[in-house]
Amino acid sequence: AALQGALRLQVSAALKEGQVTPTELCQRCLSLIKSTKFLNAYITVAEEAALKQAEESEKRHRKGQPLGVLDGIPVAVKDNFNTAGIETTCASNMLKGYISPYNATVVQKLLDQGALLLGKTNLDEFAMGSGSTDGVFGPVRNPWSYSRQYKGKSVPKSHSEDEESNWVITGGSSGGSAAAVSSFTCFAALGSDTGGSTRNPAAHCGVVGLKPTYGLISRHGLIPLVNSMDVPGILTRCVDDAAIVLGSLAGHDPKDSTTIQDNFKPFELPNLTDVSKLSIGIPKEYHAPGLSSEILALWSKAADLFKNAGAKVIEVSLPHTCYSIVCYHVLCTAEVASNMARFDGLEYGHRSDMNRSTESMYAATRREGFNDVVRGRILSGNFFLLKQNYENYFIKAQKVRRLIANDFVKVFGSGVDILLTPTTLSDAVPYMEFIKEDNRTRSAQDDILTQAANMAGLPAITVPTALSKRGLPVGLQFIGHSFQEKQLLTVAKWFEKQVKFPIIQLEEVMRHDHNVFQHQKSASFS
Amino acid sequence: QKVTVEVLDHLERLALVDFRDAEGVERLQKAIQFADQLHEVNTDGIEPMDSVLEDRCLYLREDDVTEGNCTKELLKNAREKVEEYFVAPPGNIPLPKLEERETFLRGS
Repeated sequence: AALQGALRLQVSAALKEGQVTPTELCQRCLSLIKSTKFLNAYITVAEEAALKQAEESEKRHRKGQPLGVLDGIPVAVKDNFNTAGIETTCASNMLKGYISPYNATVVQKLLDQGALLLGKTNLDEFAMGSGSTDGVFGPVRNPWSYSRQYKGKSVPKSHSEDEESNWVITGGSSGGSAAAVSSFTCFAALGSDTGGSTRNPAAHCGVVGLKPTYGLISRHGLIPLVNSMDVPGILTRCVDDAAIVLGSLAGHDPKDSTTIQDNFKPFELPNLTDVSKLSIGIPKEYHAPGLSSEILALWSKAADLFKNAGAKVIEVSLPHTCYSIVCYHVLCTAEVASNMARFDGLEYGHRSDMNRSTESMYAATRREGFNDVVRGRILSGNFFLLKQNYENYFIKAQKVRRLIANDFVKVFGSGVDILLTPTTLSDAVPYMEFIKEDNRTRSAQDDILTQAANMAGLPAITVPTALSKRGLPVGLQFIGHSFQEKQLLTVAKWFEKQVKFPIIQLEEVMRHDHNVFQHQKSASFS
Repeated sequence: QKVTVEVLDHLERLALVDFRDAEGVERLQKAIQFADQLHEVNTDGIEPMDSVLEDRCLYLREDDVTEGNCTKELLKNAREKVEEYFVAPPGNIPLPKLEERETFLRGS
């Protein structure tokens, strides 16, 4: 029960009372990482460092002086956050072997709270993608592919290819983080969210995925994709845990001038019982083409849930929703073109042997270091930024961005507290099916429900809601007012309690590592 | 409206990234086609938005040196260096022209 479904709060209590030690917890997680290696969720596992951190945490606990709720808690970090002394690759050849000299602010904050950094998780190369399939270390497998609940498996003959080829994707680009949390190898993970990269995989992997308001959490040390939209994302197994992690990460950072200077007060989530004062908006445009009838039904059921509990549920309109993907496409590629310019082989990362001239060395380095997706976005971005195109594409997109942001302002200004929408168009698709379409097409399809929140900088959270007919997780999304994370998470927590999403039953793991689960059954923490 | 070879060549020089093959060029064409949908939106009188935090003042700190002196750390990640310098191949040499460099575009 220590790993399975237990609220991290409960684990923290267990650590405090000495029922389990940080080292034991750490070892269990490390062992589970090994036995779930086939998921390919981790790029780097920092075993020694984590155990050392566990030792330190243990000393503090023995003295009765834990640093806080996160002390001794194993966490994982997406591999596009700089981590001192640990390789940071962004799943790209460009940064293979790159050992950062510093910790991203959010990483430092976690470490300062005593969390144990288990390792760096897998992603799409440079966080570009919605499947976590396009990194140089290979795709991440959704742990639910190996659950008793998944009905897409063929009859297992042995460890035959049939079973292997039916595995489903995690979604992306923070797929490794989502898989890591979903398979119990850590209690919380950091992802990043530019167009939905934390919420999408969270929904597909049955975990909570929080995208904070832009400007709330520091981006210092997060290798940037789109400076005006990127945010660090939080993935956990329950909403309360997300609130705790948020509490330890939010706040002004002098090293990131785009973080707001308002004082941030960490909060505990109340147990909401009366939703009658809530106004829930259902944006009709989120009934997007391609939305599965299953998810549509779940969304409707959720709306009814709120209505029956006394909340005001109304249909609203965000008329420019259908343009958010196009707008994102232009703004993203433009900012990417600029942000990727730093990779030239001189100061860090891959460097080509070509040395005829600086320009040819840069060109060769970038030819060798970036995959098709990254190169494609850089070239598109440069096209939109050409003098002859600047006004018609880049500035135009910036104007459309304002229209999208204004849509939300109007709706929230009319008295709506929270928006309720689906997170994804369908449940996770099998890998073999996913790769039939190219990255850009996939991203355009998959980001449609999540992207607008990034455009407007609003906080959004996906909560695991139910299993699909195929036995795979489906999540629903709540979008809130700027910097009103407390209200957003309070409503999300209420919803989470109502839906009682099932715990994943990982049979593959049980087969591989019987010991881990045996121990858990005897320890009771709730 | 197809993108001309001149523009493709220009992009390769600006980005210092190559199209690699026909698929790369096709990818750009599709990206432009996709982006053209933006022109359906009426944006008369709308100001471009740079940042969602445009109504706030950006944080400026005091111009005091609070950290640094980490030359060794920073040089560790560079492949070619001499003393405290990053070493680059000779500069001021433009990328070879389309006909003279190894690029897929050469055949077009």
